[in-house]
Amino acid sequence: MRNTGSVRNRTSIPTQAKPPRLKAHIARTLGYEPFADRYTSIVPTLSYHDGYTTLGSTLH
Amino acid sequence: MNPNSSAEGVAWVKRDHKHGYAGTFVDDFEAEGSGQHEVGTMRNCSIIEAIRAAIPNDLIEINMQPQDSAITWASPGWKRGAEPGRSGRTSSGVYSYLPWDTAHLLHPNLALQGVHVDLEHATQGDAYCVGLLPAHQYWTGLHRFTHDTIWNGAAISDATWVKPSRDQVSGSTYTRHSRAVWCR
Repeated sequence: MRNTGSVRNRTSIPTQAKPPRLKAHIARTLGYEPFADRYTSIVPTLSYHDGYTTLGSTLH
Repeated sequence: MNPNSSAEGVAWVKRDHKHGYAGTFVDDFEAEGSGQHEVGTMRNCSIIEAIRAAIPNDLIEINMQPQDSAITWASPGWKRGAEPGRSGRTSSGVYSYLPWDTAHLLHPNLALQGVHVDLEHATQGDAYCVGLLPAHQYWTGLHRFTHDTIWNGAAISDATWVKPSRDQVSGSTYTRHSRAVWCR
């Protein structure tokens, strides 16, 4: 039997099913790359980076 | 400054740009003299400047504590990289670092464009203070909210209640899936 209850299926916003609703109600979204790559073609998306723990982490 | 750190940051934002992102959100920007997590004002400003050079027309949003913004705003590197006229926007959190009513008075003076609010701790009075911020954009952290909570409208309804006019809401779930929504 095909597993349709994967973690990915349970946690993903149903972008394929409801892009009109997304476009109507969401002006912009913010997400972690690369997971949020799936949103960029639907709503303007900002990529999250942490200035201290990632961008700044190699400064120490 | 370790040149590799800037190169890594630039590589990330270039990758994001290639994949269609509207810009980058730099959280937890830290400055020297803030008393916490002091990466270094000039080093962080240099990273912002490098990111701006890599994605000249994309949006850069920067979130920091108020004490950091007071330090960084006068930096030439900061102005080159993050000035609002170049699609840069800055916000700062308020919870646990200064009272909300003080933030209401402070933020315009710091030329910040928004307030990042943690809804987990927000009260109605806090939200009212945020709503008083004049001519600024308000966005609201949705810490600990899940995907389903955002999607079924509960979080959006709460956030709409927070801000009176501009309809911009952001947040984070710490699930490494999706952090924020802006609603209209």
